[in-house]
Amino acid sequence: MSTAPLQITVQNKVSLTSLPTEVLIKIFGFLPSFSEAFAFAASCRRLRCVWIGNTNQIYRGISPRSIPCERLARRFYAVQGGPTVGSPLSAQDVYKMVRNTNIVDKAMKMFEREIVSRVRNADGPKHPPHLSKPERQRFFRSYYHLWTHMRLDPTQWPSHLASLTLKQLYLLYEASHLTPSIGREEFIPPPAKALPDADPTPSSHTELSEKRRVLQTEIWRQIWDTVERIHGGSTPENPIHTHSPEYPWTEDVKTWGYRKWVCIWDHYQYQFKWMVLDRDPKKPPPISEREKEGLWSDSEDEEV
Amino acid sequence: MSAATEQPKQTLTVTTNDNVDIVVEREILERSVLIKNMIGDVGEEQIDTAIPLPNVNEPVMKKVIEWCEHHRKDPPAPEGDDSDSRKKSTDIDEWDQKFMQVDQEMLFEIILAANYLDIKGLLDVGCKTVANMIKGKSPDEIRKTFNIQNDFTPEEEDQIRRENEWAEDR
Repeated sequence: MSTAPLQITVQNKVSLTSLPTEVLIKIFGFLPSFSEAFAFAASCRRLRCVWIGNTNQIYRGISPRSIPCERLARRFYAVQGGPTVGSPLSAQDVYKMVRNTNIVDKAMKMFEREIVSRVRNADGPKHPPHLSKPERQRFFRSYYHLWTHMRLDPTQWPSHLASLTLKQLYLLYEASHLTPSIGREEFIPPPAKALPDADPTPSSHTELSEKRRVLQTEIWRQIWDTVERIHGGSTPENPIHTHSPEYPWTEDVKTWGYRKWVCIWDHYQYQFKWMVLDRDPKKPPPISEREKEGLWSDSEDEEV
Repeated sequence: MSAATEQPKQTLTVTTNDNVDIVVEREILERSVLIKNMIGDVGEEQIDTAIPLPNVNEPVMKKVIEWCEHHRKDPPAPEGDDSDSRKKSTDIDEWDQKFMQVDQEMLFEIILAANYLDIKGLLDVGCKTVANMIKGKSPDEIRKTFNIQNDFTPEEEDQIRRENEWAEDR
Protein backbone atom coordinates (compact mmCIF):
# COMPACT_ATOMS: atom_id res chain seq x y z
CA MET A 1 0.00 0.00 0.00
CA SER A 2 1.39 3.39 -0.92
CA THR A 3 0.11 6.92 -0.63
CA ALA A 4 2.57 8.34 -3.16
CA PRO A 5 0.27 8.40 -6.24
CA LEU A 6 -2.47 10.11 -4.24
CA GLN A 7 -0.02 12.80 -3.10
CA ILE A 8 0.99 13.48 -6.70
CA THR A 9 -2.66 13.90 -7.70
CA VAL A 10 -3.31 16.34 -4.88
CA GLN A 11 -0.22 18.40 -5.69
CA ASN A 12 -1.24 18.70 -9.36
CA LYS A 13 -4.73 19.89 -8.58
CA VAL A 14 -5.31 23.55 -9.37
CA SER A 15 -7.01 25.49 -6.61
CA LEU A 16 -8.23 29.07 -6.36
CA THR A 17 -5.34 30.15 -4.14
CA SER A 18 -2.78 28.60 -6.49
CA LEU A 19 -3.83 30.90 -9.35
CA PRO A 20 -1.24 33.54 -10.27
CA THR A 21 -1.46 36.91 -8.55
CA GLU A 22 -2.46 38.75 -11.76
CA VAL A 23 -5.45 36.40 -12.14
CA LEU A 24 -6.51 36.84 -8.51
CA ILE A 25 -6.31 40.63 -8.97
CA LYS A 26 -8.66 40.27 -11.95
CA ILE A 27 -11.11 38.18 -9.87
CA PHE A 28 -11.02 40.82 -7.12
CA GLY A 29 -11.65 43.51 -9.74
CA PHE A 30 -14.79 41.78 -11.01
CA LEU A 31 -16.41 41.58 -7.57
CA PRO A 32 -19.61 43.62 -7.40
CA SER A 33 -18.72 45.59 -4.28
CA PHE A 34 -16.04 46.18 -1.67
CA SER A 35 -18.00 44.07 0.85
CA GLU A 36 -17.18 41.05 -1.29
CA ALA A 37 -13.56 42.16 -1.73
CA PHE A 38 -13.17 42.50 2.06
CA ALA A 39 -14.72 39.04 2.61
CA PHE A 40 -12.56 37.48 -0.12
CA ALA A 41 -9.41 39.04 1.36
CA ALA A 42 -10.43 37.81 4.81
CA SER A 43 -10.55 34.15 3.78
CA CYS A 44 -6.80 33.38 3.89
CA ARG A 45 -3.34 34.93 4.03
CA ARG A 46 -2.62 34.52 0.31
CA LEU A 47 -5.74 36.44 -0.70
CA ARG A 48 -5.14 39.08 1.97
CA CYS A 49 -1.61 39.61 0.61
CA VAL A 50 -2.98 40.02 -2.91
CA TRP A 51 -5.49 42.60 -1.61
CA ILE A 52 -2.98 44.55 0.50
CA GLY A 53 -0.30 44.51 -2.19
CA ASN A 54 -2.56 45.48 -5.09
CA THR A 55 -5.29 47.57 -3.49
CA ASN A 56 -5.07 50.45 -5.93
CA GLN A 57 -5.49 48.22 -8.99
CA ILE A 58 -8.39 46.34 -7.39
CA TYR A 59 -9.96 49.65 -6.32
CA ARG A 60 -9.97 50.84 -9.95
CA GLY A 61 -11.84 47.68 -10.93
CA ILE A 62 -14.55 47.77 -8.26
CA SER A 63 -15.05 51.48 -7.58
CA PRO A 64 -17.00 52.36 -10.77
CA ARG A 65 -19.72 49.95 -9.59
CA SER A 66 -19.43 50.51 -5.87
CA ILE A 67 -18.50 54.13 -5.12
CA PRO A 68 -21.18 56.55 -6.36
CA CYS A 69 -19.76 59.83 -7.73
CA GLU A 70 -16.29 58.36 -7.36
CA ARG A 71 -14.33 61.40 -8.56
CA LEU A 72 -16.09 63.64 -6.08
CA ALA A 73 -15.66 61.01 -3.34
CA ARG A 74 -11.91 61.03 -4.08
CA ARG A 75 -11.76 64.82 -3.96
CA PHE A 76 -13.61 64.77 -0.65
CA TYR A 77 -11.25 62.14 0.74
CA ALA A 78 -8.30 64.39 -0.16
CA VAL A 79 -9.96 67.17 1.90
CA GLN A 80 -10.37 64.62 4.68
CA GLY A 81 -6.60 64.04 4.73
CA GLY A 82 -6.31 61.24 2.17
CA PRO A 83 -3.85 61.20 -0.72
CA THR A 84 -4.28 63.73 -3.50
CA VAL A 85 -6.48 62.75 -6.42
CA GLY A 86 -4.50 60.56 -8.83
CA SER A 87 -2.18 59.18 -6.13
CA PRO A 88 -2.44 55.46 -5.40
CA LEU A 89 -4.69 54.34 -2.55
CA SER A 90 -3.64 51.94 0.20
CA ALA A 91 -5.96 49.38 1.80
CA GLN A 92 -6.50 51.78 4.73
CA ASP A 93 -7.51 54.53 2.29
CA VAL A 94 -10.03 52.22 0.65
CA TYR A 95 -11.51 51.26 4.04
CA LYS A 96 -11.99 54.99 4.76
CA MET A 97 -13.51 55.72 1.36
CA VAL A 98 -15.90 52.79 1.67
CA ARG A 99 -16.87 54.03 5.13
CA ASN A 100 -17.56 57.50 3.71
CA THR A 101 -19.75 55.93 1.01
CA ASN A 102 -21.68 53.99 3.63
CA ILE A 103 -22.19 57.12 5.74
CA VAL A 104 -23.63 59.01 2.75
CA ASP A 105 -25.68 55.96 1.78
CA LYS A 106 -27.21 55.78 5.25
CA ALA A 107 -27.98 59.52 5.16
CA MET A 108 -29.67 58.93 1.81
CA LYS A 109 -31.74 56.07 3.20
CA MET A 110 -32.85 58.26 6.10
CA PHE A 111 -33.75 60.97 3.57
CA GLU A 112 -35.78 58.39 1.64
CA ARG A 113 -37.65 57.33 4.78
CA GLU A 114 -38.38 60.81 6.06
CA ILE A 115 -38.67 62.98 2.97
CA VAL A 116 -39.01 60.99 -0.26
CA SER A 117 -42.00 59.00 0.86
CA ARG A 118 -43.89 62.27 1.52
CA VAL A 119 -43.21 63.95 -1.81
CA ARG A 120 -45.97 64.37 -4.31
CA ASN A 121 -45.70 65.42 -7.97
CA ALA A 122 -47.74 68.27 -9.32
CA ASP A 123 -50.25 65.76 -10.67
CA GLY A 124 -50.80 64.22 -7.28
CA PRO A 125 -49.26 60.76 -7.32
CA LYS A 126 -46.68 60.05 -4.74
CA HIS A 127 -43.02 59.90 -5.51
CA PRO A 128 -41.83 56.26 -5.43
CA PRO A 129 -40.35 55.37 -2.02
CA HIS A 130 -36.78 55.37 -3.32
CA LEU A 131 -34.72 57.95 -5.15
CA SER A 132 -34.23 57.31 -8.84
CA LYS A 133 -30.68 56.83 -10.10
CA PRO A 134 -30.27 60.50 -11.19
CA GLU A 135 -31.81 61.70 -7.89
CA ARG A 136 -29.42 59.44 -6.01
CA GLN A 137 -26.50 60.95 -7.92
CA ARG A 138 -27.74 64.46 -7.08
CA PHE A 139 -28.00 63.48 -3.42
CA PHE A 140 -24.51 61.98 -3.28
CA ARG A 141 -22.92 64.92 -5.08
CA SER A 142 -24.65 67.51 -2.91
CA TYR A 143 -23.81 65.60 0.25
CA TYR A 144 -20.12 65.40 -0.63
CA HIS A 145 -20.09 69.13 -1.46
CA LEU A 146 -21.77 69.86 1.86
CA TRP A 147 -19.45 67.57 3.83
CA THR A 148 -16.43 69.18 2.10
CA HIS A 149 -17.55 72.65 3.14
CA MET A 150 -18.30 71.54 6.69
CA ARG A 151 -14.72 70.28 6.93
CA LEU A 152 -13.14 73.38 5.42
CA ASP A 153 -12.29 76.52 7.31
CA PRO A 154 -14.90 79.20 6.47
CA THR A 155 -12.14 81.36 4.96
CA GLN A 156 -11.84 78.70 2.21
CA TRP A 157 -15.56 78.72 1.39
CA PRO A 158 -15.70 81.60 -1.12
CA SER A 159 -13.24 80.05 -3.58
CA HIS A 160 -14.83 76.60 -3.26
CA LEU A 161 -18.38 77.89 -3.66
CA ALA A 162 -17.35 80.03 -6.63
CA SER A 163 -16.12 76.88 -8.39
CA LEU A 164 -19.60 75.28 -8.28
CA THR A 165 -22.17 75.62 -11.04
CA LEU A 166 -25.37 77.49 -10.37
CA LYS A 167 -27.28 74.22 -10.57
CA GLN A 168 -25.02 72.61 -8.00
CA LEU A 169 -25.25 75.66 -5.73
CA TYR A 170 -29.04 75.33 -5.63
CA LEU A 171 -28.76 71.64 -4.86
CA LEU A 172 -26.16 72.35 -2.18
CA TYR A 173 -28.43 74.96 -0.66
CA GLU A 174 -31.18 72.38 -0.37
CA ALA A 175 -28.80 69.78 1.04
CA SER A 176 -27.62 72.26 3.67
CA HIS A 177 -31.05 71.80 5.29
CA LEU A 178 -30.43 68.12 6.06
CA THR A 179 -30.78 67.82 9.78
CA PRO A 180 -28.73 64.77 10.71
CA SER A 181 -25.11 65.51 11.59
CA ILE A 182 -23.14 65.75 8.35
CA GLY A 183 -20.64 62.91 8.15
CA ARG A 184 -21.47 62.26 11.83
CA GLU A 185 -18.81 64.86 12.61
CA GLU A 186 -21.05 67.85 13.16
CA PHE A 187 -22.49 68.71 16.54
CA ILE A 188 -26.21 69.29 16.22
CA PRO A 189 -27.70 71.04 19.22
CA PRO A 190 -30.68 69.20 20.71
CA PRO A 191 -34.15 70.75 20.31
CA ALA A 192 -34.58 73.61 22.76
CA LYS A 193 -37.90 72.32 23.97
CA ALA A 194 -39.36 68.94 23.16
CA LEU A 195 -43.06 69.36 22.65
CA PRO A 196 -45.20 66.29 23.41
CA ASP A 197 -46.98 66.41 20.06
CA ALA A 198 -43.93 67.37 18.00
CA ASP A 199 -43.01 65.35 14.94
CA PRO A 200 -40.37 62.96 16.31
CA THR A 201 -38.44 62.53 13.03
CA PRO A 202 -34.97 64.10 13.09
CA SER A 203 -35.71 65.90 9.83
CA SER A 204 -38.38 67.94 11.57
CA HIS A 205 -35.89 69.52 13.94
CA THR A 206 -34.99 73.04 13.03
CA GLU A 207 -31.71 73.14 14.94
CA LEU A 208 -28.55 73.27 12.89
CA SER A 209 -24.99 73.95 13.95
CA GLU A 210 -23.82 77.54 13.87
CA LYS A 211 -21.29 76.69 11.18
CA ARG A 212 -24.03 75.24 8.98
CA ARG A 213 -26.17 78.34 9.38
CA VAL A 214 -23.29 80.57 8.34
CA LEU A 215 -22.59 78.24 5.41
CA GLN A 216 -26.21 78.47 4.27
CA THR A 217 -25.92 82.25 4.16
CA GLU A 218 -22.67 81.98 2.19
CA ILE A 219 -24.19 79.54 -0.32
CA TRP A 220 -27.10 81.85 -0.85
CA ARG A 221 -24.78 84.84 -1.31
CA GLN A 222 -22.82 82.84 -3.89
CA ILE A 223 -26.03 81.96 -5.73
CA TRP A 224 -26.79 85.63 -6.15
CA ASP A 225 -23.22 86.45 -7.12
CA THR A 226 -23.35 83.74 -9.78
CA VAL A 227 -26.72 84.89 -11.10
CA GLU A 228 -25.39 88.46 -11.31
CA ARG A 229 -22.20 87.33 -13.02
CA ILE A 230 -24.00 85.24 -15.60
CA HIS A 231 -26.96 87.45 -16.38
CA GLY A 232 -25.31 90.78 -15.76
CA GLY A 233 -28.12 91.99 -13.57
CA SER A 234 -31.72 92.75 -14.37
CA THR A 235 -32.67 95.02 -17.27
CA PRO A 236 -36.11 95.82 -18.71
CA GLU A 237 -35.22 93.68 -21.77
CA ASN A 238 -33.86 90.84 -19.73
CA PRO A 239 -35.67 90.74 -16.40
CA ILE A 240 -34.21 88.39 -13.86
CA HIS A 241 -36.90 86.85 -11.73
CA THR A 242 -36.90 88.26 -8.31
CA HIS A 243 -36.98 85.66 -5.60
CA SER A 244 -37.07 86.05 -1.89
CA PRO A 245 -33.48 85.69 -0.69
CA GLU A 246 -34.74 83.70 2.26
CA TYR A 247 -36.27 80.92 0.31
CA PRO A 248 -36.62 81.31 -3.41
CA TRP A 249 -38.93 78.55 -4.43
CA THR A 250 -41.45 78.33 -1.61
CA GLU A 251 -44.44 78.06 -3.93
CA ASP A 252 -42.74 75.44 -6.08
CA VAL A 253 -41.87 73.38 -3.02
CA LYS A 254 -45.53 73.33 -2.02
CA THR A 255 -46.52 72.10 -5.46
CA TRP A 256 -43.62 69.93 -6.45
CA GLY A 257 -41.68 69.00 -3.34
CA TYR A 258 -41.66 68.59 0.39
CA ARG A 259 -40.15 70.76 3.15
CA LYS A 260 -36.99 72.24 1.65
CA TRP A 261 -36.46 69.91 -1.28
CA VAL A 262 -37.56 70.46 -4.83
CA CYS A 263 -34.50 70.81 -7.12
CA ILE A 264 -33.43 67.23 -6.46
CA TRP A 265 -36.53 65.59 -7.95
CA ASP A 266 -36.63 64.29 -11.49
CA HIS A 267 -40.15 65.65 -11.92
CA TYR A 268 -38.90 69.20 -11.22
CA GLN A 269 -35.95 69.18 -13.65
CA TYR A 270 -37.79 71.06 -16.41
CA GLN A 271 -38.77 73.86 -14.03
CA PHE A 272 -35.36 73.72 -12.37
CA LYS A 273 -33.68 74.18 -15.71
CA TRP A 274 -35.65 77.35 -16.38
CA MET A 275 -35.08 78.53 -12.84
CA VAL A 276 -31.33 78.21 -13.40
CA LEU A 277 -31.67 79.90 -16.76
CA ASP A 278 -33.72 82.55 -15.01
CA ARG A 279 -36.39 82.85 -17.66
CA ASP A 280 -40.16 82.63 -17.46
CA PRO A 281 -40.99 78.90 -17.70
CA LYS A 282 -44.16 79.74 -19.63
CA LYS A 283 -42.21 81.44 -22.41
CA PRO A 284 -38.91 79.62 -22.71
CA PRO A 285 -36.64 81.41 -25.18
CA PRO A 286 -34.14 79.43 -27.25
CA ILE A 287 -31.11 78.61 -25.18
CA SER A 288 -27.99 80.18 -26.57
CA GLU A 289 -24.77 78.20 -26.71
CA ARG A 290 -23.33 80.50 -24.05
CA GLU A 291 -26.18 79.64 -21.72
CA LYS A 292 -25.89 75.95 -22.40
CA GLU A 293 -22.21 76.04 -21.62
CA GLY A 294 -22.45 78.13 -18.49
CA LEU A 295 -25.76 77.32 -16.95
CA TRP A 296 -26.95 73.83 -17.52
CA SER A 297 -24.90 71.49 -19.65
CA ASP A 298 -21.82 71.87 -17.54
CA SER A 299 -22.49 69.01 -15.16
CA GLU A 300 -19.91 66.28 -14.91
CA ASP A 301 -20.65 63.23 -17.01
CA GLU A 302 -21.08 61.05 -13.97
CA GLU A 303 -23.88 63.19 -12.58
CA VAL A 304 -26.80 61.85 -14.59
CA MET B 1 -21.18 28.78 -57.20
CA SER B 2 -19.71 30.53 -54.20
CA ALA B 3 -18.85 27.19 -52.54
CA ALA B 4 -16.58 26.32 -55.46
CA THR B 5 -14.66 29.61 -55.18
CA GLU B 6 -14.35 29.52 -51.41
CA GLN B 7 -10.75 29.35 -50.21
CA PRO B 8 -9.93 26.30 -48.09
CA LYS B 9 -9.58 27.30 -44.47
CA GLN B 10 -6.00 27.20 -43.27
CA THR B 11 -5.40 24.88 -40.35
CA LEU B 12 -2.63 24.65 -37.76
CA THR B 13 -1.60 21.92 -35.36
CA VAL B 14 -0.98 22.39 -31.65
CA THR B 15 0.62 19.79 -29.41
CA THR B 16 -0.68 19.76 -25.85
CA ASN B 17 1.43 18.80 -22.82
CA ASP B 18 -0.03 15.29 -22.83
CA ASN B 19 1.35 14.87 -26.36
CA VAL B 20 -1.88 15.13 -28.30
CA ASP B 21 -1.93 16.90 -31.66
CA ILE B 22 -5.04 18.95 -32.34
CA VAL B 23 -5.73 20.43 -35.76
CA VAL B 24 -7.56 23.75 -35.59
CA GLU B 25 -8.51 26.50 -38.04
CA ARG B 26 -5.93 29.28 -37.94
CA GLU B 27 -8.58 31.99 -37.48
CA ILE B 28 -9.84 30.23 -34.35
CA LEU B 29 -6.37 29.70 -32.90
CA GLU B 30 -5.47 33.32 -33.50
CA ARG B 31 -7.93 34.36 -30.79
CA SER B 32 -4.87 33.57 -28.67
CA VAL B 33 -2.47 36.52 -28.73
CA LEU B 34 0.35 34.16 -27.70
CA ILE B 35 -0.21 31.83 -30.69
CA LYS B 36 -0.73 34.74 -33.08
CA ASN B 37 2.59 36.23 -32.00
CA MET B 38 4.30 32.83 -32.25
CA ILE B 39 3.08 32.47 -35.84
CA GLY B 40 4.37 35.97 -36.57
CA ASP B 41 7.74 35.12 -35.01
CA VAL B 42 8.36 31.83 -36.85
CA GLY B 43 7.14 33.14 -40.21
CA GLU B 44 4.65 31.77 -42.71
CA GLU B 45 7.13 29.23 -44.17
CA GLN B 46 7.36 27.26 -40.91
CA ILE B 47 3.68 27.36 -40.19
CA ASP B 48 3.27 23.64 -40.85
CA THR B 49 5.26 22.75 -37.74
CA ALA B 50 3.10 21.82 -34.75
CA ILE B 51 2.96 24.51 -32.07
CA PRO B 52 3.91 23.09 -28.66
CA LEU B 53 1.72 24.16 -25.72
CA PRO B 54 3.59 22.88 -22.66
CA ASN B 55 1.15 24.42 -20.17
CA VAL B 56 -2.17 23.09 -21.49
CA ASN B 57 -3.51 19.53 -21.65
CA GLU B 58 -5.87 18.12 -24.25
CA PRO B 59 -9.24 18.33 -22.41
CA VAL B 60 -8.58 21.95 -21.42
CA MET B 61 -7.35 22.89 -24.90
CA LYS B 62 -10.50 21.40 -26.41
CA LYS B 63 -12.61 23.60 -24.11
CA VAL B 64 -10.50 26.61 -25.06
CA ILE B 65 -10.97 25.84 -28.76
CA GLU B 66 -14.73 25.46 -28.24
CA TRP B 67 -14.83 28.94 -26.71
CA CYS B 68 -12.65 30.45 -29.42
CA GLU B 69 -14.80 28.88 -32.11
CA HIS B 70 -17.97 30.36 -30.65
CA HIS B 71 -16.31 33.77 -30.28
CA ARG B 72 -14.34 33.71 -33.55
CA LYS B 73 -16.13 36.81 -34.90
CA ASP B 74 -15.84 38.87 -31.71
CA PRO B 75 -13.92 42.14 -32.12
CA PRO B 76 -10.37 42.00 -30.75
CA ALA B 77 -10.03 42.83 -27.04
CA PRO B 78 -9.08 46.47 -26.37
CA GLU B 79 -5.47 47.15 -25.38
CA GLY B 80 -4.70 47.81 -21.72
CA ASP B 81 -7.00 48.13 -18.75
CA ASP B 82 -8.88 51.26 -19.74
CA SER B 83 -11.65 52.72 -17.63
CA ASP B 84 -14.36 52.09 -20.23
CA SER B 85 -13.82 48.35 -20.16
CA ARG B 86 -13.68 48.44 -16.36
CA LYS B 87 -17.01 50.23 -16.22
CA LYS B 88 -18.62 47.44 -18.21
CA SER B 89 -20.95 45.19 -16.33
CA THR B 90 -19.81 41.98 -14.72
CA ASP B 91 -22.62 40.11 -16.49
CA ILE B 92 -21.82 36.95 -18.40
CA ASP B 93 -23.80 36.08 -21.52
CA GLU B 94 -25.95 32.98 -21.52
CA TRP B 95 -23.74 30.84 -23.78
CA ASP B 96 -20.65 31.65 -21.69
CA GLN B 97 -22.53 30.84 -18.47
CA LYS B 98 -23.37 27.39 -19.81
CA PHE B 99 -19.84 26.96 -21.13
CA MET B 100 -18.48 27.66 -17.65
CA GLN B 101 -20.69 25.07 -15.96
CA VAL B 102 -17.74 22.79 -15.25
CA ASP B 103 -16.16 21.53 -12.05
CA GLN B 104 -13.89 23.91 -10.16
CA GLU B 105 -10.70 22.26 -11.27
CA MET B 106 -11.62 22.59 -14.94
CA LEU B 107 -12.71 26.19 -14.34
CA PHE B 108 -9.31 27.08 -12.87
CA GLU B 109 -7.53 25.15 -15.63
CA ILE B 110 -9.44 27.13 -18.27
CA ILE B 111 -8.52 30.37 -16.49
CA LEU B 112 -4.85 29.34 -16.37
CA ALA B 113 -4.89 28.36 -20.04
CA ALA B 114 -6.60 31.63 -21.03
CA ASN B 115 -3.99 33.55 -19.05
CA TYR B 116 -1.11 31.61 -20.61
CA LEU B 117 -2.52 31.77 -24.15
CA ASP B 118 -3.45 35.43 -23.67
CA ILE B 119 -7.15 35.15 -24.58
CA LYS B 120 -8.55 38.17 -22.77
CA GLY B 121 -12.24 37.43 -23.40
CA LEU B 122 -12.01 33.91 -22.03
CA LEU B 123 -9.92 35.02 -19.07
CA ASP B 124 -12.54 37.68 -18.24
CA VAL B 125 -15.40 35.17 -18.42
CA GLY B 126 -13.51 32.75 -16.16
CA CYS B 127 -12.69 35.44 -13.60
CA LYS B 128 -16.25 36.78 -13.66
CA THR B 129 -17.53 33.26 -13.05
CA VAL B 130 -15.35 32.95 -9.95
CA ALA B 131 -16.37 36.48 -8.84
CA ASN B 132 -20.03 35.45 -9.14
CA MET B 133 -19.34 32.42 -6.95
CA ILE B 134 -17.95 34.77 -4.26
CA LYS B 135 -20.87 37.24 -4.47
CA GLY B 136 -22.75 37.68 -1.19
CA LYS B 137 -20.65 35.17 0.76
CA SER B 138 -18.95 35.57 4.13
CA PRO B 139 -15.24 34.66 4.48
CA ASP B 140 -16.27 31.35 5.99
CA GLU B 141 -18.64 30.56 3.12
CA ILE B 142 -15.91 31.48 0.62
CA ARG B 143 -13.53 29.05 2.36
CA LYS B 144 -16.12 26.29 2.16
CA THR B 145 -16.93 26.97 -1.50
CA PHE B 146 -13.30 26.88 -2.62
CA ASN B 147 -11.88 24.55 0.00
CA ILE B 148 -9.54 27.24 1.36
CA GLN B 149 -7.78 26.64 4.64
CA ASN B 150 -8.14 29.40 7.21
CA ASP B 151 -4.50 30.15 8.06
CA PHE B 152 -5.11 33.29 10.15
CA THR B 153 -4.56 33.29 13.89
CA PRO B 154 -7.73 34.05 15.91
CA GLU B 155 -6.25 37.47 16.77
CA GLU B 156 -5.61 38.29 13.11
CA GLU B 157 -9.07 37.13 12.16
CA ASP B 158 -10.59 39.31 14.85
CA GLN B 159 -8.63 42.34 13.72
CA ILE B 160 -9.65 41.84 10.07
CA ARG B 161 -13.29 41.42 11.09
CA ARG B 162 -13.19 44.67 13.07
CA GLU B 163 -11.54 46.53 10.17
CA ASN B 164 -14.19 45.30 7.77
CA GLU B 165 -17.04 46.16 10.12
CA TRP B 166 -15.62 49.65 10.60
CA ALA B 167 -15.36 50.21 6.84
CA GLU B 168 -18.87 48.94 6.29
CA ASP B 169 -20.13 51.14 9.12
CA ARG B 170 -21.88 48.24 10.82
